[in-house]
Amino acid sequence: MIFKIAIKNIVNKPLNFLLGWLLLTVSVGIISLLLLVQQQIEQQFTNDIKGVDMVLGAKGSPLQMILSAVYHIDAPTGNIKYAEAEKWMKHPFVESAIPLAYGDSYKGYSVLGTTTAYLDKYNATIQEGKLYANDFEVVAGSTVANILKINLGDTFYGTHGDKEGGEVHKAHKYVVTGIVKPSGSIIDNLIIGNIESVWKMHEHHNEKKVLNGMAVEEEDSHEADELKQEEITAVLLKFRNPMAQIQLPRIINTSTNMMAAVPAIEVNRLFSLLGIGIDTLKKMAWGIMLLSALSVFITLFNALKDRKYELALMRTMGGSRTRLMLLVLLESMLLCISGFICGIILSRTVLYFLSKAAQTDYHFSFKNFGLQLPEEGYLFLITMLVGITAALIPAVKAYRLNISKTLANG
Amino acid sequence: MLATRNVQFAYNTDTSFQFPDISCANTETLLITGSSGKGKTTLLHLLAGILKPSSGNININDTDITTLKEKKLDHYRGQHIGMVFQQSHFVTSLSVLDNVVLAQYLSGRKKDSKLVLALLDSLGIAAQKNKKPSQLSIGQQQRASIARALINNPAVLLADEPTSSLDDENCFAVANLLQQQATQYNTALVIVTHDSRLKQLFHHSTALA
Repeated sequence: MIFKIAIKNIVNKPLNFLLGWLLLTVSVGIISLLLLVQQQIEQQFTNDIKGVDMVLGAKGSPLQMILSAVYHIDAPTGNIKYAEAEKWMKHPFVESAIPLAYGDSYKGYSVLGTTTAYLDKYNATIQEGKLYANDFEVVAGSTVANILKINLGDTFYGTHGDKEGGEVHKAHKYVVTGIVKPSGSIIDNLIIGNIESVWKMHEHHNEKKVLNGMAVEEEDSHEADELKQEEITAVLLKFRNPMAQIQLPRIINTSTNMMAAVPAIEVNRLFSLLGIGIDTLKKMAWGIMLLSALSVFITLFNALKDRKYELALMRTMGGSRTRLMLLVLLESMLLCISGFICGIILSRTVLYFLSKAAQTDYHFSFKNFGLQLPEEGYLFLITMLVGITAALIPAVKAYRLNISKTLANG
Repeated sequence: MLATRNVQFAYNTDTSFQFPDISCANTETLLITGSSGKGKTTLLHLLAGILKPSSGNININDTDITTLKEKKLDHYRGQHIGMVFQQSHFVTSLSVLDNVVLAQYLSGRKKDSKLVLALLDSLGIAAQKNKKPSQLSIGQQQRASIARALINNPAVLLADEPTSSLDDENCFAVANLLQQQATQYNTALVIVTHDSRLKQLFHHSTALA
């Protein structure tokens, strides 16, 4: 019954409570959204650099190189000679090295030439069809396949660069031989084939300017020998030995015209930059929550003036002081619970649209819409605390209400 | 059955009251009259246990309510005392029916809307059960508050100026209704008023001086 009164009191005068509820919903929504976004970006980013101790590529911005070589959300810094990179790939400190050749795309999704070790590194397995075996055969990541509606046996031309509308490489068609099982890693967003395909694609492209069709075919047969003259974009390396992580990047950066970067360091730098923004937003959200507490307090305090008689009446009907106090507290807490729930729903709704936008712009999607525990558990407790604090003074006033005086003046 | 003995009350050293002993048997009606400032409402609040007398006893059905502790008193009040006020106040967000059910709930009894409906029916406002109290006419509101006061079958029904804001027609209707219900529910009815119209109806009265 007390519950019913509390709900009816709120529902009957929705405008009184609107501001407090709205502020609470927005603040919970922002905080929860930030939690979801931050947690998933960090998880995704950390996940994708697992097993990559160092990235080798062309000189430029190390962050850009990591963003392009590991996450494929930035343009590459340039190309390096395969032969030159190979020296380091075979370095005794290196446990494994995965060469990457990329720069072309299909409808905005990167076409990556690499070895099968790349797929193994992310524990990617083939869901449909089979792994690429020959040149110009590719497998598509699950997200790419979904969004571009790629099926087994489909063919397409690659586009130069990572944007749609670039120059199309018409010399060879890629054939999709397999779809990769969703792995939650960067692979979901890639189209992967062997390195030779990427080389030949560009080989032809270059040769075509000087050679006729016959010569091109002849050129093909020689290519195996010339592969080592070819260029790759980056190499992902894993070390045997932690010392290498300190020594190799320095040696490479000072003594070669290539660049080495440690993804963990670059990603940390990125997070700390991102963190400043997120922290600022969070502080703002806490501020809004404080405002909501104030608003709920003012609402309850004002309502109490109008409801004094009503409360005194309940005392004459046998209601105890504690019960009246409970009623006021309950109203505030119901308001806060509804604000919390709406905030959580709001954050998921925003995340859904954010995810769609991020998928188009950055090939990054947010998949976790579940409750973020324990953080959102704490958020709930804090929300409840806000509700109790806001209602404390009005509740005590209800507790200490002088019924005789109130009734006599009513 | 209501009886008081030597009841005194003081708000402060300047404002103190010494009340005459009163008694009112079940089904009887006692009118307490007196001009403003003579302590009519104070006495009524004392009888309801809303105020505590500085000395004296107030017995309702053999229980001296001046000896009851706060929480017990709240409970006792809900169970055995019904109150009707000059202005009919309600929990505004609840329907008429729920307002009466609330009286059952707060007194610690079982919620029984059938019983409430029967009472509303006997008071002629059953059709208004789902309306908000503010949508009722003043006469209907007063009936609803009588229903609320009677639903727990109290030993004593205390009415504070129940007719002062009503026109003659409604005044007599409400007064008759109170008396009739008090008889039916075997309740002692105490009416505090300065409304001289009621003196024509009730002969057992005490004047505060």
